Amino acid sequence: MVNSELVNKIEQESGEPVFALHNVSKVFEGKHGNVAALKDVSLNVRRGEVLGIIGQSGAGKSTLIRCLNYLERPTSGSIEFEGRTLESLDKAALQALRRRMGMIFQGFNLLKTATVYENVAVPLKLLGFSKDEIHLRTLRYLGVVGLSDKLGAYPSQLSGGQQQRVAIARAIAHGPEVLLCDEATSALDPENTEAILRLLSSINAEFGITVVLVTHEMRVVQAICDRVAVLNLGELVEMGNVSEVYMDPHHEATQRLLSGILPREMTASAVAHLGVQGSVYSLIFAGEVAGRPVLAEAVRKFGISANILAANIIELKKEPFGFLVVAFSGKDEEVRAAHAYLRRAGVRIRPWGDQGQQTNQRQHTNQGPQAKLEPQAEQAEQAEQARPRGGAEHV
Amino acid sequence: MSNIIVSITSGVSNFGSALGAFWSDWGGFILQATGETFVMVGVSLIFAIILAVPLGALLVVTRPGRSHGNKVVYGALNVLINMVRSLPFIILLFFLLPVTKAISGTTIGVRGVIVPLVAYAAPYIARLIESSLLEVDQGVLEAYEAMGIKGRDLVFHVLMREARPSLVRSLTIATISLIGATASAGLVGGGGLGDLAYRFGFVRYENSVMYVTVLLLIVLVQVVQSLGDLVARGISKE
Repeated sequence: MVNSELVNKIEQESGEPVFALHNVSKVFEGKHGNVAALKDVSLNVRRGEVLGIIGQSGAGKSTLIRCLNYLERPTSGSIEFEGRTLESLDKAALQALRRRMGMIFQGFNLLKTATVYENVAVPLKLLGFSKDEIHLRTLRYLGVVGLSDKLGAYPSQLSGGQQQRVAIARAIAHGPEVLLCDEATSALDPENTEAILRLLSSINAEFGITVVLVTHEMRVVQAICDRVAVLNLGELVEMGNVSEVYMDPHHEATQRLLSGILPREMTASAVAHLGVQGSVYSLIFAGEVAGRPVLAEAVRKFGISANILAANIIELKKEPFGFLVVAFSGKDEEVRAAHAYLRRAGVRIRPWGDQGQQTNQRQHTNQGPQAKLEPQAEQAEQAEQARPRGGAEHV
Repeated sequence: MSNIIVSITSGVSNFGSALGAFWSDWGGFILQATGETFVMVGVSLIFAIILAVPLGALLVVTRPGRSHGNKVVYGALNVLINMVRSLPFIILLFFLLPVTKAISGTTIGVRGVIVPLVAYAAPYIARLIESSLLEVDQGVLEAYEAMGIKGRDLVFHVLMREARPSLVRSLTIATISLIGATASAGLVGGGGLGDLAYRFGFVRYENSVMYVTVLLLIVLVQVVQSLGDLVARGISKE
């Protein structure tokens, strides 16, 4: 016992992962045959980070997050929480570990017959906190989520966003190290979604609580996540820092998820349709360079012209992120020099239409043979591609 | 004009004196019978609830697919409850006579009827509790499970707590059924309002006793139902 505590302590101090998943698979046995919800997923959750798990519905992301606290038992593979394998734990030990985690859900899951105050206080009571402590913590955490004026209200009197705030207060009041969020904003309108995401972000920063969140919306990932894991049909197909994945999405599932945000799928025919002169390139600005007028400088310096066909600038958690599709025209050597200049400034330049052809480059993903797309998804993608981008700007 | 008034007042006073006469003849019986009904319903309800709460909880917890899903325990409970519930109360009353004798020491009077009433109500209430508990959102239980809260606390502090409005409604239904069942208790000399209506109203052709008893039973059921609704609405915050 002493040994394992010591090991845990050392691991905590040396920045070992909070969760370590090794080849986790989950098969659901159904009436119509077995369904593999997770296939050989291996990943780490780092202490203090906000990790987003994204995928389309049916990708297995909810199953994955529910495996982290063993609400769902993996069929094979192992999950370690702070170095302890969950499989080996008896009921009491598992309950003890769960007390170091918090979880929020899409449906909030509050007691409908209890007040806001009671909804936070009841679990604390059941977890054995003293009366004074319960009172202090309940008031404190309801203050953190901004509901100090709603103590006596019942869930039915609150908006969805407010109910999720109560659920967040409940999930962190006992002082967990990890907060698991299962589609926590999916039932909320955009305004409330943003407010809840800001709250989660500040909880992560202020209390140092590691946050793992599952979502099907890329904008959730870009708003608060440090890293993102992409699930497709039960497989982990891509994982990395959010800006890296945005800059260079390898797997078509990732590209599909990003297509709503970045105008990547603008097809050659659409470019041709615009009657573009010159060579078309995609330019990606990430971080500090996104704030500088480097393209304008290049145009001026090398006497070329740059026709911006599509553009989008979004705010990632730590940095702005810009994406442009540009047609360059001018003398060949000047264009090349301009490219070199832009690259030196930190812009990623790639001939347009080159995306998606360099899979299997990022090493820390366990990309298996690429899963075949569902027919519906494929059709949807084709439909998406056929439609010219409405957001293209001509300069 | 004055004739009419006189005849109305005399009518009222006639009615009044008739009521007075009725009350002096039957008031004691009615009061006693009402008291007996209350005792039978109250006592058997308490024992039935004591038996039914663990039964209902067990039915939910051991239900296949639930936290402690156990086909054997659930199946056995299921069959047992269905068996007892198959018997109409009047049959149960006679069928259980030896058991009643062994437990209560007597098979007649109010004491003699408590055992069959409990046997009648407990499985019924267990079923009602089961369905009330099944209504509770599984997600709420999951949220508490995810915080590492013990199974026993989940049942009593989450499941039961959240089901309270529905439980109150269920118990209201059960209480009213019990009031009905106590009427049959007259057959073994159990007493109560049903017994009074049967012995005097039916056997001895005292129609007024029959009517008053029926009226009292109607009022009693209305009051119980309204009270149950009121309490359930008070607890439910939806």
